[in-house]
Amino acid sequence: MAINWLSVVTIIGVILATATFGILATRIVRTTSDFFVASRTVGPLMNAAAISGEYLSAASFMGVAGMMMKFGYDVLWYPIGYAAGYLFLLLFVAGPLRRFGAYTVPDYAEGRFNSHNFRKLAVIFVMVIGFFYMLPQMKGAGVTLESVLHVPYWVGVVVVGIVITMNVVLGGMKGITFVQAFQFWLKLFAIAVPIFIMLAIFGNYRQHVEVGQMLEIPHFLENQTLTYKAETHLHFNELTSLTPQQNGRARTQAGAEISLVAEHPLEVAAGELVLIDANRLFFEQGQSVPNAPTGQNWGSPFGPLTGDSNSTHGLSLLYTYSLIIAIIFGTAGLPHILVRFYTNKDGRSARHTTLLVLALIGLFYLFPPIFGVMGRVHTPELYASGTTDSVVLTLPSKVTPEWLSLVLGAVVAAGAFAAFMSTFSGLLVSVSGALAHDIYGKILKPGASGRSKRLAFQLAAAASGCVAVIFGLFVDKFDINMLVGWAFAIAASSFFPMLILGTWWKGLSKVGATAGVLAGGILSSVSIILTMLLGEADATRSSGSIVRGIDPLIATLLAQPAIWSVPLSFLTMIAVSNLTYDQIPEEVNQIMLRLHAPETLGLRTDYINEV
Amino acid sequence: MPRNFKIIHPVEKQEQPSRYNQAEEEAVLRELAELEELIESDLPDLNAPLYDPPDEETLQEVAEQTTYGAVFLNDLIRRQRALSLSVAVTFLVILFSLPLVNYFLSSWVAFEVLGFQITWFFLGILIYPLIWALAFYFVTTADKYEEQFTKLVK
Repeated sequence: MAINWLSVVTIIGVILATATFGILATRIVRTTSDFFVASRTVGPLMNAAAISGEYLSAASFMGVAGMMMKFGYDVLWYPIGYAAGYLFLLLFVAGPLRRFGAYTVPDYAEGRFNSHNFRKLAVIFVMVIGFFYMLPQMKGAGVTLESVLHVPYWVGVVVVGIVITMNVVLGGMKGITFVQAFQFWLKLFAIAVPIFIMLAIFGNYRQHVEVGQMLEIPHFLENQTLTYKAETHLHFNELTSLTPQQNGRARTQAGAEISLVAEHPLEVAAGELVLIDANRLFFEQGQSVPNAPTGQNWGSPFGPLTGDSNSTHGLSLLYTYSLIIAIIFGTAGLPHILVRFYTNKDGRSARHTTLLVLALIGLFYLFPPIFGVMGRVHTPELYASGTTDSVVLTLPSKVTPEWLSLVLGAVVAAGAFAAFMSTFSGLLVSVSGALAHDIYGKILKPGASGRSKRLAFQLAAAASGCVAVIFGLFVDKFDINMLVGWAFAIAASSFFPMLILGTWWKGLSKVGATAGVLAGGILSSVSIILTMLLGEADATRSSGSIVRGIDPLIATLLAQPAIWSVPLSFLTMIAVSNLTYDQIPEEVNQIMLRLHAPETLGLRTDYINEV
Repeated sequence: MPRNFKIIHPVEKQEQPSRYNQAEEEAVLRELAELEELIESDLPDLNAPLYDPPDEETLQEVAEQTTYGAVFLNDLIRRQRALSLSVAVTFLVILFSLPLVNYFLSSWVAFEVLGFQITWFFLGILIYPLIWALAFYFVTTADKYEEQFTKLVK
């Protein structure tokens, strides 16, 4: 495949525009307050676009489409959850959080419960969630450069990691507010325009859903030679002929070891084949595509995402609910999103901004699933190569005439770049903000000058960027969207209950909140890490990541912990608070006043007002 | 002139309000209900400046959490919380019933609307306008509650 040089131009354009904004912004940024929260002078539409721009990550731009293609109907819950999460943010968190007038979630934690220790705990969770969320952005970067420039995966991770980290180190948050807003509109354009053009060429959405369901088994549309690493699992739906390009060994489903001879065609029966050695396989046009779900499984609820086969339908229902809970409630507990609400003028405008955000991201989420649906019909080879995450980038190459395909390819590449750049920047600001503002400014050296805090922020950003790049090198076998879903589950089980109860229930005590955050946060993290380490999470596999060989009920609850960890966190908070009501801060009424009294009364000042 | 109460954190121990008794609270609540009725009736008064400086005395009460202030603010929080919860429950009931419908009534959801299976149509498209409508209702109602509260305190 030739390199689409037009994509290279647009990608460099996005990088340059981002860097220029960042550098220009450093000239405007004067005070520490500017640096952290853009001085709270950003208008609602700009702020809403910036929030949406930051939120729409590689998972939304590439991951939803990739998983949609791979798993079908069930993946629709992801974009719905991503959007509906903002409804809950609006209902319970947005206004009061802004009124409280703190910079970060740890500020809230300390202010609400009058406890330095609780701040430390919150900082730790900000970083855990932040790092979990950075990994899929890194994967997005690797996949995009791999697909556009045909460079190895690690090149994309390293190059993009360095560029964005530099930008954050130089510009801080004010630079990012403008950049994020610009990047939202870029992303919307880059996902919507190619869809309309491709629908005009390929036929409408409804037809694609129908064809996708009727394609009981997708077949290769052209000859393909695909490269596989050692220990790759391939699932064949029917008798398939293929030609290995190298000598090697493979294991059939029955457990027999067979040898693959270079250039000798081979008939593989329906079932699983494991490549013991790395190899390249040639498939002729018309052969069935391995690892593709059947039309029935793909097109109906409770397909391969939520379980292994029809026999586990009850568990699929459980998995579905748990996924919905994680994503909706996780959104309302994401620290890098919450920090954006402090840039609103007041609580009322925080609500209005959130309403606008809902409109903007809802509009965006109409499009990614369409890419996934079209991918099943037009780029089935991505199932076989295990790279469905790149469907958004690959699909435009199927368009004729060639010039149009080049232009569309360049547009989506720029959009994908904007997606992981903006989210990665936001996460870096959030994590480095926690390090500089909370650990350095409040714990290590209270009363540090604004200048030295700013230096600490820059050092922290550089260090966090490096760590993210290093971990990003190891996540190429996970689905982007799956990784993001896990970050949501942890946020939903820790910060979300603390914010809701802390804001709306006077009776929440410090001990209760601590116990709940620890119980929900740690247990959900542990079960996710277990699934990551033990689960057969192989991007080429046609089923969701889940630990095999143990009771399927337990495996489901480990893979999607939110359904038990969120209630656990809430109940722990309530129960422990009732036992320790003497630990309720004495000034709880004052705190409630700050959270809920309209600014029009002119009663309160912001929590932090440094210049 | 709006008064600026600087609330410093960790909060210096403020003078704690004297606890009010049951009867006193009930009386205030009754008064509050009457006041609210009054305000509902003259709501269309849109010319009233939004940032009108509120009455110093009542303000003081809200800030210091004396009987009146505590009741005013608690009432606002209660109303906001009830509003948030009712919108949230409405949405969750709709959303959480979908997997159940898919599971138990799988033949119904395969029914086609505009050429789509209804379940695809709903989850792919229709759900977003539903979210927008609920959010819009919440924002306008919450704004209204706060305006009423501000008037009440004035």
